[in-house]
Amino acid sequence: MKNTKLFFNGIKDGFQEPGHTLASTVNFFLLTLVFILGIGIVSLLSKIVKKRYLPLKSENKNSYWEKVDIGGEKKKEEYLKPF
Amino acid sequence: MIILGISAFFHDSSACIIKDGKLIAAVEEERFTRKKHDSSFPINAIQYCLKEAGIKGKDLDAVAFYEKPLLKFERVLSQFLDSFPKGLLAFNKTIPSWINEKLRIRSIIKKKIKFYGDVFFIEHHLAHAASSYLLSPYKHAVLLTVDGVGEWASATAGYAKENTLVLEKQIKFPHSLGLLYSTITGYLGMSVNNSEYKTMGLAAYGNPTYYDQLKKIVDIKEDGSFALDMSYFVYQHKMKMPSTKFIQEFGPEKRKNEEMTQKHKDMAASVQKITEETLFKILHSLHKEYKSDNLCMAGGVALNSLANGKILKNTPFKSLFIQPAAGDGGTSVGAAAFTYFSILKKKREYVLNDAYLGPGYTNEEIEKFLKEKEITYTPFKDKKDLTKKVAKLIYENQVIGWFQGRMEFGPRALGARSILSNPCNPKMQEILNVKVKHREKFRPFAPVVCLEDAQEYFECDKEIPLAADYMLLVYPIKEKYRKLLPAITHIDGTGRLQTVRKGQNELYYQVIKEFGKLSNIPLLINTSFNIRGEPIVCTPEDAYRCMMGTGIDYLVLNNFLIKREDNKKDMWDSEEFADD
Repeated sequence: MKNTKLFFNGIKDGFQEPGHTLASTVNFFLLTLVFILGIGIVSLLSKIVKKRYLPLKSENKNSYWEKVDIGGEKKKEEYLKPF
Repeated sequence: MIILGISAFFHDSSACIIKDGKLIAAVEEERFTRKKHDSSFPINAIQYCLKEAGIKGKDLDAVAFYEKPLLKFERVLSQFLDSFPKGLLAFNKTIPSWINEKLRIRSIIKKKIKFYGDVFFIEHHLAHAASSYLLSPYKHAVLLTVDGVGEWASATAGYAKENTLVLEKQIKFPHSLGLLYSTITGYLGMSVNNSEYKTMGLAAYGNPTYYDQLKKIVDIKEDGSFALDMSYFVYQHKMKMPSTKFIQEFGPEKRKNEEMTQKHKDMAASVQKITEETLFKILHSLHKEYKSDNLCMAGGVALNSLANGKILKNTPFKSLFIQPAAGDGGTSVGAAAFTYFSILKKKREYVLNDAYLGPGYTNEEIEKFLKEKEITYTPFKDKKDLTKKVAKLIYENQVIGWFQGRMEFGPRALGARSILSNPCNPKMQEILNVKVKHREKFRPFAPVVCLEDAQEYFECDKEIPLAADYMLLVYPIKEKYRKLLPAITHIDGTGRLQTVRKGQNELYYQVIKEFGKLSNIPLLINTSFNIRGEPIVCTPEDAYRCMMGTGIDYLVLNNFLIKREDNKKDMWDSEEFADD
């Protein structure tokens, strides 16, 4: 019984590294697909309508501070949200 | 009421416990896993905190997490959307951890600590601000947080009164003072999010000759708000910092093992000057706007002790508070404190008195370890004898590994896990750098002094801020002492001092005083008890291993003194393991 367990554990350990490599390869291809189809299409559409997601170009204004409302007297429920 | 605070999955994961309004434990995960800046879920730190509170995960009243993950994810996706088709490699590297960890915080907490109650998500910069103000003695203060980036903000400002904190404005990513500093750190061949303090140390060797050139890529307004010319940076879509344009303009990046030249030192001095100028402008404007003389700062940039030491002289603020873990490690404390005092509106009486919030070991536990490992040691029954002996050894130029009581929270060793040595020995800096710490020769060592003696040796502020207890302020050493204290006097005549108050760390205080009796100078070198690239030691075993692998001559484990030479069987050479 003990030997059988050791045998199967050995097989499991032996497959671990190629398993990881296979998983990484599959992940890479899937993520690349998501990047091209998901990010790519939305990005192209955004470029057509000239929408920018990051304020990369700074306009020459008096102050770069942006107003926000963080903290203060918000309800407890606001802080239970992860957004 | 017991609140657990967690910071995880970015860098410097940590956990803390607030019990009935008092911070009773706080520790970074790296100290247990021995991986510097460990970003994994801080399960070891949490287990330690729960043990300190004497409870299990299910007994907690609430858990507070240090950021709003979905807001941060929005920013990460925006980076990729904006830079497409660039960013494929960064996307492949980043997204798996979002799917597996960062978007599953609640389920990870349930699974790992069996807690099924309320999990509060506190904005990253709010957690920073709370970590400072809610541990400070102030009833009102101006708040300023500056770091690399949180969810969207890289800097925020606002005010606090009683239990209420309000952040009213932000500088939005990708514009970031912290990331500008990190870019120069990376450009100088050092690791980003790790070696920024080395850039700060290097700055003293240079002249800010690149100031005008750097200034062209940072637009700083009168109120201190700033924007970067992003054509000089690529961190918004790559796993590196400066762009080709930056390299073309400033020359090639320094390779890791390349010699540090005057140009590199000048670059460090220039970015330091820009950082200080920006901070002082912001602070002038905030003081005018919020009309409070108290300032609470946090975020990675608040660890810039060179700038911190100049704040009270260069701005209208009269009082400054920064807590010891001002970087991301401290956000677990901020999240928990904000939940307890601001969301649940509990009475605020607690003020942070010291940073000794980590694991400690009893004499019995240490003696058991020493016996098990067959280590030769000398026990001291009388603590006075121990402090006298240690002071004498330091006076005789021996290097001491000092392990006492509970470990410090935050990146600085403050007399619980420290290496102590003689600041008057001109060769001590080299001895420590080469034999013990295996680190760059340009890096200075910090002095520790009892609070009441600080004004004698340093050109401090009239009222020394509490932040000096946490080694967060650099001050000039008085001219007449610079030659007497060669090992702690940096090239520009400054020292990043730690002040110790009586009653804060009694044995440490006594060793400094005893050394003063022998040398007439009550100051010591205090540097972190670790080898370069390793986290500060946590357990007696870590401390013993560190001593045996370096040039530390003696180790003090609570009441036990261990001589390296007496334990030759355990000697090894740590030099080849020293990392960045």
